[in-house]
Amino acid sequence: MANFNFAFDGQTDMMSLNPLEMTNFEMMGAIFGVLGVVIALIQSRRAAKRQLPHTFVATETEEGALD
Amino acid sequence: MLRSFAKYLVVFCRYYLGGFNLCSGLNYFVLIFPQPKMGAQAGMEFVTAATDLNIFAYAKVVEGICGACLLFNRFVPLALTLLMPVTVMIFLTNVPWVPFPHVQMSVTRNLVMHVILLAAYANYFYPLLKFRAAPQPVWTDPARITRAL
Repeated sequence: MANFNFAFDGQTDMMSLNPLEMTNFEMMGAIFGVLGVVIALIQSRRAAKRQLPHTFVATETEEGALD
Repeated sequence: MLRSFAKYLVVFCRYYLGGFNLCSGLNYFVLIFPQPKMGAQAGMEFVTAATDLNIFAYAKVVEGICGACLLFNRFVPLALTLLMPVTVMIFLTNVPWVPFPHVQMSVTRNLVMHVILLAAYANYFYPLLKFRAAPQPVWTDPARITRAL
């Protein structure tokens, strides 16, 4: 039986493999995770300028190197 | 479709680990939730020894700061690097020793998410794979630190 157990008392069934039965920290992580995905979806729909990954150029790794 | 899924998977993992570690770190100093107990005697002794040596407090500070970094998307590669010893240590002290499947699944999930995030931010770690690296001391050009921000 699925159980959505937000156990403020820390009494989660540790023998359970039910992913919906979470400890407090897992629940906080899941809440933040879902919120993050919702925020990312909203931001992508607003077509904000995308954050591009950093590309290292030669000067950043070789500049001023001691031979 | 797959690219979009990967993007939101990374976002979920970043926020999940950020929220988890921030709450875990803050909870050590401001007790909101009961502190989780180790299920094995050896694990409990390890935690007691780490607490006595203040290593546990250090780990919680790292968890709190790095969790906030992940949550607010600041210094993410650095935060992942600093958090890795904590994640690995929790994994190694729990999975082989704690008999509870829930704990084993939880810490394994955290490690998997951590590895996914490291892989997602791999472009920041490629320079570490330099086979023959030449020293490039920070004191020769300290302004590079601010330029890197």
